[in-house]
Amino acid sequence: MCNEPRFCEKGIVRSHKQVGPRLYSLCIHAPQTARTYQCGQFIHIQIPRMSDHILRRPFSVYRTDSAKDEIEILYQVVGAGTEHMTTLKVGETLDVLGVMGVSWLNGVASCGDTQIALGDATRVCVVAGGLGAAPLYLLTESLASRGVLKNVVLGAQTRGHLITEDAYRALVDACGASIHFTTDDGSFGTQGFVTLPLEEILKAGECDLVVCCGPEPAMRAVYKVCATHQMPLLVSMEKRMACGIGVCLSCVVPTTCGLKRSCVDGPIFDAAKVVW
Amino acid sequence: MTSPVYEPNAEALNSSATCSEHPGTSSVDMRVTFCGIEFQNPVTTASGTFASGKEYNAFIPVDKLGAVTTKGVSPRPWSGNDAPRIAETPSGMLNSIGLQNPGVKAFIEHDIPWLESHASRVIVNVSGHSVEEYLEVIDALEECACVDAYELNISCPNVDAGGMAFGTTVQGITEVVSAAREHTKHPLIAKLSPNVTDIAEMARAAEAAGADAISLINTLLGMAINTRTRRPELARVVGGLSGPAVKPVALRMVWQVHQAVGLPIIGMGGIMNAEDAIEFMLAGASMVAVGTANFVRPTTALEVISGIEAYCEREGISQVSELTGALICS
Repeated sequence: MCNEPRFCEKGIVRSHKQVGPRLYSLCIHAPQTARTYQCGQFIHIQIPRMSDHILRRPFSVYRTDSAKDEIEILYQVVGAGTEHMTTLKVGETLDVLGVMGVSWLNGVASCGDTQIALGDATRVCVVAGGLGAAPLYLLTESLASRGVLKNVVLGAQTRGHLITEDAYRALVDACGASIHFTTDDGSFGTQGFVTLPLEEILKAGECDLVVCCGPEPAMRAVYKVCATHQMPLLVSMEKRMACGIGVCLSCVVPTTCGLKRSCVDGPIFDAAKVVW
Repeated sequence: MTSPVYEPNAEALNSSATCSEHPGTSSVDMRVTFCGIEFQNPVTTASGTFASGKEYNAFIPVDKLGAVTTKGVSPRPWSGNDAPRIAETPSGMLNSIGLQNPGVKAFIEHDIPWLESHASRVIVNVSGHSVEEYLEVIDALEECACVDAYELNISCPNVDAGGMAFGTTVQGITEVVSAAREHTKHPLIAKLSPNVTDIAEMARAAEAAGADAISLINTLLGMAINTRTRRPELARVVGGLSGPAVKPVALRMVWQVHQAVGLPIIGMGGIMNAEDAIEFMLAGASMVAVGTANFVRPTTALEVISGIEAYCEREGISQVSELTGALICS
């Protein structure tokens, strides 16, 4: 499936700041992206001044500002590319290839014989591990505005890593949903994994669909809990990418229907179909 | 203005700007006759980096390329290797995709119709684990009118049987090429592996076995290690290196093959812009292929065409084929 529109545009860095331990927020003026991006999709960015690292890097968009035609990306420094990104200055241009991938909005999750499309869910639980909170934010905003958001679980290594706390609180407060926090070190909320509050939520029968994004081990753990409670789950699978548009076959995810490309067949997947 | 990863000299950049929008509007004849077939220009795609072209058609009109060279096609579906299948390396990347493809039946059903209506010329890359498998693919494709030539993949390093296993010995090359020769009148392009001691010897074997042309280089066998996990970056441990890092090796091999055989050559290996492509032509290539660069900038292939045209116009070259082998070695 070829997702339109496809374009390359010059993004201009409008702001760039550190927001947590090895965590940065980057705002880019990118009109085509800002106007066409749907939650859960990604863009493929060429980082300038990095001539010996030639591949683009994929990023989801955390928030958009349609009035300013700006997009905000959150990133964590994990390797050479992201280390170099920290040197990006306001006013610099980056080449943005966009917009790729299936949106959360088109997600369909199943469990056993039941199937539920995101648009039909009425009680949604959002679970974010670490920076998985970034690609989930715009979805959560949409769910809240439709009155179908029931629970949010945000997990991170430490309190300092919960950089999206305020943004999510605002959404949750506006629609009367509940929010739960977990940290690995117990510095805030429940100590432990996101699966702890999720268990309670599922036991109480509070939702009809869970959506989750985070490190793969976290999503796998969430899937196990959801499967135990016969709960459909949508996940966002991040894989190493070269082309980002479906031709190179680097980013494959094994599923019960064969190998799927996370860049065009995903990144949103029915967790029950992923071979974990 | 775009800023290419590798900056050609300022003159080349300035000149390519004048022709960049509309290839074919200059006085340069960009056509090449390759294996008796006319191509509208000398630029094609490197197998595995472009699929059949549908995804790239959103960025460039694929029918403006000299040819599309497809992903490798095997007789039955191949699922390829375990992930991680890629790793970035200095000025390049490793891949161990493993020739994942849906098989020739699915290719004929889904890719051929698209190619027929969108590609000016079609070169199908043929893959197999055994000689018989190469022949199965060729036999199945013989009835497809839009297929102009076959590129025999005897050089992929990411499969245990077939691929590079054939292309690293004279005997292996001879077996595949001579068997394929008996099965088709279509032009046969032998895609050679650089993982050999003497590329000229391999090219001579392909020529003697009946190949009509040589394409090179396929990827160089390489490896990357993660010091944090102390594991290889690729699940398969080793993979094929491509990108700017391989260009000097590729150029040298094109030059050596051009000296050794009379067959026309498709040159590839790290071409990121028109200037790189021209180097390959000067070294002896009649056509060039753009591969990894497609991932960096989807418009690269089109820019290479425009840039070659601009160079020829600037240099007073009326036919692009004059560039082939025009290297001055005094």
